[in-house]
Amino acid sequence: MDYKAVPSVCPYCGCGCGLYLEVMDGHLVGTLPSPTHPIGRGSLCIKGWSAHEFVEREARLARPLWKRGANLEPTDWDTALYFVAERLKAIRDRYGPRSIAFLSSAKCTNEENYVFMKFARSVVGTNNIDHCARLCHAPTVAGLAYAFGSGAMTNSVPELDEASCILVIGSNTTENHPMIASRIINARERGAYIIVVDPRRIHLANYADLYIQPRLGTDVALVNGMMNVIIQEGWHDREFIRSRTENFEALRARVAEYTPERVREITGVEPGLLRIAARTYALSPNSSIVYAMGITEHVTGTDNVLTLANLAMLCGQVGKRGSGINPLRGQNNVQGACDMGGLPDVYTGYQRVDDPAARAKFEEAWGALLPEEPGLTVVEMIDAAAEGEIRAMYIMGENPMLSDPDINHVREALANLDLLVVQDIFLNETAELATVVFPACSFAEKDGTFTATDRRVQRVHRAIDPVGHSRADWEIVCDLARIMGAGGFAYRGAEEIFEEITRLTPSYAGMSYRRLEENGYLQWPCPTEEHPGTEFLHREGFARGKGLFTPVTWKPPLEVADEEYPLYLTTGRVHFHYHTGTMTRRSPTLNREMSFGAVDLNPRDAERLGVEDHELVSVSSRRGEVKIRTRVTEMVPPGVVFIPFNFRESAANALTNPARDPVSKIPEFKVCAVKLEKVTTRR
Amino acid sequence: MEERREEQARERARSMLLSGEARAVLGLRGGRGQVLPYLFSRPEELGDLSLSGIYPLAKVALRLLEKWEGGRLAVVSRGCDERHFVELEKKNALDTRRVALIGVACTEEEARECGCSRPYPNQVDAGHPLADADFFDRRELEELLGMKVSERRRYWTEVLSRCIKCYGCRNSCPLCNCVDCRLEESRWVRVGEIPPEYPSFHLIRAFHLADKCVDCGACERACPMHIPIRRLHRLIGEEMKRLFDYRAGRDAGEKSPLLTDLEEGPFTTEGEDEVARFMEAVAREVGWVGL
Amino acid sequence: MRIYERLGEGFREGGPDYLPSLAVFHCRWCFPDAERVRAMLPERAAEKALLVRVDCTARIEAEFVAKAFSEGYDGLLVLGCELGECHHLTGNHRALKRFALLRNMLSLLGIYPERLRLMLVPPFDEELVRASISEYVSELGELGSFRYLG
Repeated sequence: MDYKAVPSVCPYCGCGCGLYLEVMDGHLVGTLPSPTHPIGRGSLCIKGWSAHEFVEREARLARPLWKRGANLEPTDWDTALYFVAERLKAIRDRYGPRSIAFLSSAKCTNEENYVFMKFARSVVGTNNIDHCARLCHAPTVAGLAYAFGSGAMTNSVPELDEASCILVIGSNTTENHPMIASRIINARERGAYIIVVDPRRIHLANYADLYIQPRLGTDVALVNGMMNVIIQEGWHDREFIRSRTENFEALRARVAEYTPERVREITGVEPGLLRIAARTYALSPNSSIVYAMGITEHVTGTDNVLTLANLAMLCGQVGKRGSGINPLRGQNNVQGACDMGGLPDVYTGYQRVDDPAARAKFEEAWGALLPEEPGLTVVEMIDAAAEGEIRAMYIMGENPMLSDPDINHVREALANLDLLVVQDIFLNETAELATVVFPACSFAEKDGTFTATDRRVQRVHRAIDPVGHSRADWEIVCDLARIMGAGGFAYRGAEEIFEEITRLTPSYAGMSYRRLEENGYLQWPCPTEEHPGTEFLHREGFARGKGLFTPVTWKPPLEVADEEYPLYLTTGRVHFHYHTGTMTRRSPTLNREMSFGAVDLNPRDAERLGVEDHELVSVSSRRGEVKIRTRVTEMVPPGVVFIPFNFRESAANALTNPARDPVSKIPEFKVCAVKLEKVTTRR
Repeated sequence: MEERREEQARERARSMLLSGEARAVLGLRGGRGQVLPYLFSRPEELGDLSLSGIYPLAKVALRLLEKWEGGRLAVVSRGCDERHFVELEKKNALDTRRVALIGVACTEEEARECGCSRPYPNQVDAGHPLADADFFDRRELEELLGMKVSERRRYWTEVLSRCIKCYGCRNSCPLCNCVDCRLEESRWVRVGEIPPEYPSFHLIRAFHLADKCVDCGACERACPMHIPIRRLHRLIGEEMKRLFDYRAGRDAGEKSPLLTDLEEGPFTTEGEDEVARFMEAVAREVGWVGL
Repeated sequence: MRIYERLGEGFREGGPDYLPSLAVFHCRWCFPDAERVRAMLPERAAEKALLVRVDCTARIEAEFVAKAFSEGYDGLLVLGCELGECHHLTGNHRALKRFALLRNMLSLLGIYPERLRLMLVPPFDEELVRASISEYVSELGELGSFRYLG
């Protein structure tokens, strides 16, 4: 009998907890936490403990599939690869490279995202590549890059222990980043002041010293109000503003319009609470902001991020240990997928495609001419597919049929394609519509690196052989590239790809597999081989030089509740499932905990509408309808309902509004107008 | 000192492998900044055997024994690990003929960190047992015992409501190994909710472990929300001692008092009083006398 | 704002007029008839009471107790056979030991041990049983609501 524990990294959220996969006779039998890991410290959440469960499920895709008539039928690798290569070439030749679009994956390794991006740009010749970061933290990347010059978490997760005030805004941390919530509770035990701002009374609100419940979509007004009070009272950090920022006067003028009384009108927050929050945040020695999708998933997502950046700079609460702005990234490797250039406007390390010097560097390295104009974003691709401008899509490890807004529209768009290639580990809702499906390996079957939310690059190791005939994503893409006649895709292994990444990416330049193994992790920027990695950013100066204040005006959500659709819907995830449930719903432990989604409804609304707990109701918006059971709870305020987007049977995104933030193109997942009705049962 | 202890453990492991006394040795393997469970089956690998880190290896051993064939499995065991095996033997959860232990006494530093009251196994192969040392700090228990019931209610409601139902306490506990776990049954603990309702989850688990817990602390180390679960188990352990003069992990021949009749005892004088008082109260309530 | 600060909110629930909710587990060998048991409860408490017939007092595991409290019952009463009368010979022995420990555990967890009561009684002495239960219910009333008061 053979037993080993293989070090790996959790494949779910962006916390990046270290774990050991237990392998017995070539099969995964369990998961153990890693006691020495800086994030998990010997703990895991329920998802981490069950990380091995989905890997060897029977439903895993074991062979390539292709569409014959109306059905997907098994075929062999050569047939599938040559078919796709031929079709991609034909479509590119006939409609041009911009008729093809790629979705890369925040679940795949850095190496795979890099190879996929290289394939899209150098072999097909398009910048139409994006991924689900568009649907979570695109405003962070845009907003923080604009204000500071770098769009990532400024601090490390362990530093939260040292914060003296933590402002948690728009993040249900306990449910979605449990190990970071663990740090926040740690900090509170050591005396830190915790402020939770959320329209829903989330679990963490019970541990907050101050809980503020603003109306949906009013964050800009609230934070502007805090800054108004801070400037009025002189609590701002004048020295920091003078030496490290610019454009302060414009900000001062704008926030002067947001008096506490006006803020109360917009947000419903009492001036007294606003004042306590402003004072504590401004005057604590080390204040940290923690935020997530509650900030970004709005048509004003970038504005929301900018206004938080303003607040941090105003108080000098950035660029210090334990103090900064910390967007919590959703997926295990969404930071990495962004770093690897799975975005329409940048190569690795955020080197812009429209910067001639960067382009020349990559053209030389790859030996190909590269397109100059930035490509389409996720939601634009779907629109372009619906209009017939995009003819082919290659989707690696994503499930837009559940994750994108207005999925009825997504279905029509995908059906309109000439070629849809889906590469995944399970036949998910998107793969069901594919022309060809490539079976890929899960995190347990391959080597590579993931980059966690705090810019922490860590190794995953191959623990078991690929399931069935599945192959690592990078191997599939490399084969396809070679069949299409491209050079530069003959890698011997993941390490060789990583070496190429480090050569082309200044922030990863000092990393190597050897160093990652020895050190356990490295946090970028890590520019040279001697560099120890960077715990927190902007220590002496901002990446862009001076931090830029951007005055922001509050704008209401695009869709406002009215007579026909009188309730606000907000969406999100639940603790026991991950995103579209492709993995978690196939994990017995997690599915036992929660096997269906429910709509959260305040008891007052329930009484008014005459519905009971656990009753089947219909929730509809201007775009669609779902049938779903109720969960009557005080967690949501009256007038607001919450639906998790994890469940295909009651897909929240059949209802959501695809209206986009003009800068970052993120859709407004967090607010739309709906109505809720009883389902009359036939007698 | 530490090197010497490690060398003693390696030496014992090596001789067991060479003599065929054990087919493989389960221990921790060090290096590269992390320590992880490893099955040493060749003597030449034993240089990597590490004693840094405290890990409930009995949990891994149980998994291995499910499929184990031929020869014995040796497990590097501290005092708490050995006590796990004693309790597992009581539960008939393993065949002791298939297991051999390599006993390791903890250093003072380790024992202090764990707050251990018996930081060594009965059989010591490596290190020196810190015989009369007791690092169990009763003050934190006394603080709780000194509270009024309603104050304790506040205390536990507050700390238990942090629970995110990761099941880490159960998963890391070698003695929490029922085939069907009650904590997973929606009949007893509502599913899909965090925190789990008070007091279900934690009362059920605490009771199940009342006569088994050997106070190794694995549950508390695995808790992401820093719930002082060990404090609860220790309080209950003290209660078991007071009522029934019972200590889990002491002797595999000892029966759990929860599984025996009144006549079989054993009661301490104090415990007898408690049960007698309890029964007297029953009697008083109903006018029923006699034992 | 913190959870424990909200705990005292229901403080006024309790006192002599408070009507406690009661879960009654009765052994099928000495109290087979649920309606007869119900008839022995004080009139007002009887309406709210949950009655569960079990095969033996030893059948009542910690899960039952935990569930009763997490469902918000103010008290848990167990009616069983006298020592020596157990159909399973010594089931009630185990119940006694288990409840001795459980009551202590409840107290450690912040629940008044008085909320859990085991009565091993002669089933035919109805007057006696009725009186004991009535006394127990008024004690529970003094303790007040489980949801707020420990």
